[in-house]
Amino acid sequence: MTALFELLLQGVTLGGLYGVIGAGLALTFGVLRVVNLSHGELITIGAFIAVGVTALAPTVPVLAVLVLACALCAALGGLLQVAFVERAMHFRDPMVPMLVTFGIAVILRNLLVETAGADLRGLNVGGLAQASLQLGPVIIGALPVVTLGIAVVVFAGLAAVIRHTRFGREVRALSDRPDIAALMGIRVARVHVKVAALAAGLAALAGVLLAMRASVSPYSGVSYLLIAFEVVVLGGLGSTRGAFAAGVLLGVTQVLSAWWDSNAGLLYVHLVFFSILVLRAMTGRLS
Amino acid sequence: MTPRAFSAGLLILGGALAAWSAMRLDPGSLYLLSEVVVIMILAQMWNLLAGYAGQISLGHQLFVGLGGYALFLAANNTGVPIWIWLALAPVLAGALAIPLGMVVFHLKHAYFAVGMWVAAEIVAALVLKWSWTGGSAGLILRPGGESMTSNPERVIFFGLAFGLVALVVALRAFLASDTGLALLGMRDNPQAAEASGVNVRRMHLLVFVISAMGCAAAGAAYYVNALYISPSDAFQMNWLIAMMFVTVIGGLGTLTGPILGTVLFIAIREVMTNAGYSGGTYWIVIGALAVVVLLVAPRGLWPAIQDLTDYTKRKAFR
Repeated sequence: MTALFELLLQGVTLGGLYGVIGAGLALTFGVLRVVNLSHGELITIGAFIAVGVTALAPTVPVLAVLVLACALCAALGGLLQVAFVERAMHFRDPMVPMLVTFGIAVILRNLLVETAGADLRGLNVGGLAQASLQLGPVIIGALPVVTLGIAVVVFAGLAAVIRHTRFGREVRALSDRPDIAALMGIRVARVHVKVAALAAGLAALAGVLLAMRASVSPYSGVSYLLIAFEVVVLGGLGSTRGAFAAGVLLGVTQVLSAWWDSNAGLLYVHLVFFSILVLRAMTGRLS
Repeated sequence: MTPRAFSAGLLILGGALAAWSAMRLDPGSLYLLSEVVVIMILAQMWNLLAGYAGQISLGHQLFVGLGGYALFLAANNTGVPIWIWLALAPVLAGALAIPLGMVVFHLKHAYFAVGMWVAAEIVAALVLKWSWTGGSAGLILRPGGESMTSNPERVIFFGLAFGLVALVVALRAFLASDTGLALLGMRDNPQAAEASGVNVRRMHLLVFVISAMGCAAAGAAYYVNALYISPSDAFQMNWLIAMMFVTVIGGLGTLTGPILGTVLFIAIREVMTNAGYSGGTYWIVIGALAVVVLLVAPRGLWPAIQDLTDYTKRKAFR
């Protein structure tokens, strides 16, 4: 019983991380209506910025590294939006921006390989990696709990921004009726850049958390992109709260299936996702 | 010249050229040319779905791997000659594609793209896990349990090259037929096509299965040449990246585009490798080329060239 509870808890903490991986993609997909295939690369770049900064200046506190990685990645995301994606969105065919982000993903991935090498790298967080908490009979690692805490704060913050700020109102207006939002005087391109930067910042956050938990290579972006996709599709178009719930479902599935069948990898996660996706499509509950 | 005479001429010329190259060229060049033709076929098949049916698949590496594995498993476990299995492997993959197609065509746009990708990941994970498929170690081609006695590259190249010419001729004829016109109408306006009596679902399934079979045939031929198959190679994302970039750069929704794109794709690779550039730099160049082409001429290079020549022709007549 305790073992099962520990597994569930592990699943939930992993799921929080998956939610963060998907949060940025949920934003760009929901607001920009662009399937951003470079999201996985933004995650690995965020992780590598953090690894690089810690290697160059080991005395900088982890929190400062995290903020720096998010800021740099957000700037990169905004820049890519202005320079390429926004232009691609002018063509009425939604295929064009999707294919452009695919090109960007391949460029970013190989730039990372050329500058940082293809090795796996992790982020050393000192004693936090080994520390564990004991709650009665249940033992759980401190790092996953911290990760889950960060995920919850991020999702609550995101929901508050979307609901209560001027920027949030513009975002909601744009995602509901972009044409009317533009008529009402919202500067569409400017909101797009802000959303892309926010999404890239969230990607970097996910990357840093992933690098703390395990190691990251320039080639792992593709698998993060797939997880992000699964989180977004399960959570519902542009819904951040749904993204969190979907992340938890996938995380619990992964941990339970690893216990059941240790060399399955993500097989059962993909199977669960695929079944739900098809079931929803067949019953017509998928836009 | 009538279209039929043009097609016949193309077939005879292509067949003769393929036969001559297969007999005369050295094995190294044949191996490289086989890879070129494989990518041309794969890109044509991805393009059939993306450019003519409007569905972008992120999981077409699935069919490359399926074709390869169908052939290796069938040839290794039976005494039937490998050439027969080479013809049957795409049929097998096509049969598996029918239920998958019926399921994924409930999905549209981004959902279809992700659904296909996840399907490919599931199959790759199963092949990696099962022991009868060789697991992560992969399989060595041993027809009927014995090792290959002769190198197959000459026959394989002839089959691939002639297959490509026949495929392009067949696709030309298909697109000019009633069914092909219905397909084009469906891409441009699905509601209007359905209202005019086109069975959209059946049409999608037809194109999906053809696309799967073509990829499986190319995959089977490629891995016979390689004599070895493993899940990390057969189901790798790079197959998809090649299909997408080649089609996007050459021209989405054209038959010449994938051919032109593949020539550029391989030519740039060979030139850059000979000049000593790393693989990473090559991919950066290809990615940049794709982005620039999409932003400047989103329909690809071949339609852009056609527009340009049309323009100069009109100027000349004025």
